[in-house]
Amino acid sequence: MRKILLPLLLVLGLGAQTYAQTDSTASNSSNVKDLITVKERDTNNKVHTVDKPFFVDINSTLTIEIDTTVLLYEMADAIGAQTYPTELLEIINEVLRKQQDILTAVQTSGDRKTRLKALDEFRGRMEPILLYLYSNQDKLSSSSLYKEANKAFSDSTQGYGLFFSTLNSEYKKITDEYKSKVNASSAYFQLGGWLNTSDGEEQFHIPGFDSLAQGAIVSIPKFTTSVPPAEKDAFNEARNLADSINANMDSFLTTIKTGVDTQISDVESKVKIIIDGAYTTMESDIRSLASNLESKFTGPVSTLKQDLNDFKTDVVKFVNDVKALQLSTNDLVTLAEDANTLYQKGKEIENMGDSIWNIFKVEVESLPSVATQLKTDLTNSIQSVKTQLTALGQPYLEEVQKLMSMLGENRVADLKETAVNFSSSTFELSYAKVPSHTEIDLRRIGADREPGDQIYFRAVVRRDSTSGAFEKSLFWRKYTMFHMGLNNSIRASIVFLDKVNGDFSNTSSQFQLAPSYSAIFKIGTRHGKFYNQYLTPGLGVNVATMDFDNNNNPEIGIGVTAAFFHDYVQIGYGMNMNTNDNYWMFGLRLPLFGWATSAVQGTPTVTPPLGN
Amino acid sequence: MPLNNTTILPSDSPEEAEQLFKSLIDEKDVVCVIVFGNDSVAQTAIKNADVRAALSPAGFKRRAVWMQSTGLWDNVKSYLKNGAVKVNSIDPANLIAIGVSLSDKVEMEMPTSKTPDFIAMEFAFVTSSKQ
Repeated sequence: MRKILLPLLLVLGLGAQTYAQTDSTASNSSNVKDLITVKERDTNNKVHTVDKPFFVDINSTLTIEIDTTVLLYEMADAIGAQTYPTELLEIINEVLRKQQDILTAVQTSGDRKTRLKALDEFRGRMEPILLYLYSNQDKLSSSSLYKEANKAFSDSTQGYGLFFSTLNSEYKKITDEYKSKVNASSAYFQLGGWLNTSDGEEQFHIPGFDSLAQGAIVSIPKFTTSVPPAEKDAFNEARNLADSINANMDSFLTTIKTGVDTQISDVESKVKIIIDGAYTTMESDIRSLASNLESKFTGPVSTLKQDLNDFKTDVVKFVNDVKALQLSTNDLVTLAEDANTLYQKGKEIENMGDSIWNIFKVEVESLPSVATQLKTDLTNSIQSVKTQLTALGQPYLEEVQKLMSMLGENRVADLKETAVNFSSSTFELSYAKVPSHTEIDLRRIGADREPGDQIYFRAVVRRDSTSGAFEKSLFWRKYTMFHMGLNNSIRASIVFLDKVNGDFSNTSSQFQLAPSYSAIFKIGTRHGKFYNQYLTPGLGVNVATMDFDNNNNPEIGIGVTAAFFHDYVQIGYGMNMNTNDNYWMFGLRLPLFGWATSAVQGTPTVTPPLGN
Repeated sequence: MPLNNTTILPSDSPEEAEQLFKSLIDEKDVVCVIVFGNDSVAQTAIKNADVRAALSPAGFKRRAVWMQSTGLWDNVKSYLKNGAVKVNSIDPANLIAIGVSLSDKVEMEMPTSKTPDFIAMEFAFVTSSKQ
């Protein structure tokens, strides 16, 4: 097993530089909460609310529900007719929908436990509207809605009934006004859906929202029973590659090892240059600072030292002179003069001390700014190192991103909202004509769709008039289609075989490469993005052609395999049916990192086609 | 103004006020709103709280309490428990009212920047309507 792991890792490291894939710019945002709810009816007529990560079955039917109340708020806002915040209206809408539950809770009687539960429900339903009104008291207190609600609460004889009837009539008044203004405006609503595949995007028909032609029903089978043409090609590629590498195993391994060593050595030397450069700069900054400080003190301290020595000598001389004093007038004058000289020198030393103290004081006072400068210099140096290391790592990061993209089988580039345009067949619907729901049979949106393809929905409100024209995005979301539940695929792959017992005949090689097919079964789920979009675990059967005897007579091996990352990586155990040898295997799906197109040339093929 | 659903704590007798407050707190399953002070804002607050205290959702009684003298606070605060609001953080001089839950926890405080209208007092009762 270990013998197989090594080449796999080497290949992953080397090949990472040759693979390229389209840049991915995912967009999964919705601009308006709950304007559109998508539900999925699967092939068993079971309904699922589609939520993050927005995965749907490729053969299902989607129900699109449009919350026309939210749409009204949005359209009123778009034309500048909104008098109350959307959030408040949504809260009122919700509390009115639940008013019966609230009134029932208020009137609940019985044991304490039952009443406590009812009290919790009452508080939970009433708190949002009261909290909003209370928190926004300063902005809303002059509004009709607030005044009427407050008035309703001034009468407690009618319980909460008066509050709800007031809220209801105020809400109706507001929405009627909105409807009137929105319908009188020339603003219109559009909804479109796009199928996005590796061939690009195309708008599909949504009943009630456009006059595009409806496609024929085409189901994408969950179970594959024949080998797809692309996998046949991949098998042939794997066969050529395996034969070529098996025939040149030593040079193949040497090439890979040299390539990896060169890469590591190259990175190592570049990192060393960056770090050494930064170290030199930082050391220079610190030395320069220390040298600057030192130079300011060296001169004065040296002078002071000299003066102190002189002073010491003079004092000794003076003391000796005093000892030898003859008390003549001249001696007294000389003594007085010497004493004066000593006094003067003492003053000079004092001044020098003051001067040094002042320099020291200035330097100490300037230390914060010096420290700040040093910090800035060091920060710049560290930033420079970071920038250079980031630049050095960027190509490798890009390769990792490409690898992740490939393992996620992200062959379809995400669409940006700005990149899609409504066709002229899309209806321009006034508010009153917007259907509240519609259904889309995904089997009709494109015959060539594949698992992993995307669909997008976009909704906008627009006005085209020359004055006051606008476009407001209301909804933009990506849905990815997969097979849900049990499904299978047939994949061609190149496998690294490692005999469990003994070595291969007539070769020193520790492993052998072989082309193979695997029938892999998986279970798709609507949840778990990593599981469904990247890990994609599966179990299946692997059939490989090999030549353990190295006698140019192909043998057949059959084994079980576990597959991951859209079958790009497989691990399994099998038996050579001709030699009865058991083997471990690692499989890689082709094309991987450009392998299939850069196979070693010139070696004759010995393995016969399988499955053609 | 008639205050049918209000307990007024006597300002001139701290001991009596404390006993009255204690008996209120000891009474089971009552949601209280305590109004501080005796200025015009406090008078509006207690009048409105008294109206909203007439209701008893799910059979749980409400009570308005009027602490006209905020000096009483130090005598009575030990009977209350920490809820959403910490008892020791309460300064009656900066508040119009507080809401007290069924289990004597302070769940809401109404600062003097608010207007104690019916909506505000109903909010105080509703948000304190919990165990």
